[in-house]
Amino acid sequence: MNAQFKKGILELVVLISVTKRDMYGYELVSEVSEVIDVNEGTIYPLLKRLTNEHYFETYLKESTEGPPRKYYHLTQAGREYTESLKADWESFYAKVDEFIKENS
Amino acid sequence: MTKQELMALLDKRLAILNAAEREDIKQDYAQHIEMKMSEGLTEQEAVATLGNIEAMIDETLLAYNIDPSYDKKVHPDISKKIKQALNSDFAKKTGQTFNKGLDAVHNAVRTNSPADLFKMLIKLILYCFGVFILFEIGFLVVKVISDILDGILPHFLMIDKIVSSGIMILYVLIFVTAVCSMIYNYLNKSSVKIHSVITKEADDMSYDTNIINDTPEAQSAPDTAAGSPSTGTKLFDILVFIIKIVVVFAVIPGIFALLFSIAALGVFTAALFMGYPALGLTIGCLGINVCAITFYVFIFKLVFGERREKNEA
Repeated sequence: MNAQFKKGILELVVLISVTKRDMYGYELVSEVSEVIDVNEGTIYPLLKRLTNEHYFETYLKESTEGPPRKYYHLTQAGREYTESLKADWESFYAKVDEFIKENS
Repeated sequence: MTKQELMALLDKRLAILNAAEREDIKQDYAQHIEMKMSEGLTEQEAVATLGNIEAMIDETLLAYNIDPSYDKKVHPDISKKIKQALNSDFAKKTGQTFNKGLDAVHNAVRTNSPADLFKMLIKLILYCFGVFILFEIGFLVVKVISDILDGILPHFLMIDKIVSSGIMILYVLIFVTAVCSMIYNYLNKSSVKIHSVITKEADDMSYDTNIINDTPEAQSAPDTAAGSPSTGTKLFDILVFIIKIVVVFAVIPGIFALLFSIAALGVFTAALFMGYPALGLTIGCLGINVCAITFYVFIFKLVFGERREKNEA
């Protein structure tokens, strides 16, 4: 799949993943990379950016195995941003889909 | 890439971030690698799942609105500029002038008799002294003019300490350039006869060889000495090179320092007699004078001692 496609949609997938429940970094990266086939290294910088933009909050939580894990929690701003991205994606998808069907 | 290498790279590339942020990011990747390894991957494979490391770090920096090339831009650009500066015509000309000056000194030392050399040195010192007086006059003129202007139109020219020292620095630079070119021209003029000597290089070589290889073998068996002229010439060239270095880096600046300290000694002695507490400065200047004179006596002895040996040979 085209790298630019992936990059654009990666953000939406990450945000939607965290909508259901708070997740820690590795868990989130594993889930997202199953949906979209990207290098896992590209997801960490994205998480950093979304945190810097206050769409995510992070907190540390002890785990039974290994060091404490950093959990990502979607803020209210993050929820609103996710909704607008989702709406954008749906209208974009619908238009492109319609266009493809008309021309094939 | 191993985990440790990745951590070192992150430390280097993310040096611009504050330590807590950097540690946090490193922790994320360290944990990722540990998790992958607990799933059965080797360390190398675990790092490989991150994909293109450079792109990943670039993205991380962009997450902080930092231009990822911030640390790459500085060094190549500076080295490029240095290269450009070195390749410029100005630099080449400066280099050529410097080399010509060195050659002139080389030739002067090599071809003149001790008496001529001494005369040249005296002339040079007189030159420097004259130049120094000119410098002092110029200095005084600049100072007087600026003082008069400041007196007539106070604050009009904004002559404060910074501006006047700027003017002085400019003046000194122009002056030093002029003096250097004068010395260069003088040395070039006095070595006119050198060209004829250079054409007789072969004769010179054997002459030099005999001087340097002033050992019993060389004296008793001139044939062997003639058989190995390159060693002697090399030795002689090294000697000339050392003399060149000493002249350029010690003798010429030293002459200026000596003259300046003599003038300063006079000023401070006068100040001392006028009742200023300049005892320390006067003694200091006296010390510098003694040191400098000792240095020049040493240089003269070196030059003449060597020449005397040659004459005996």
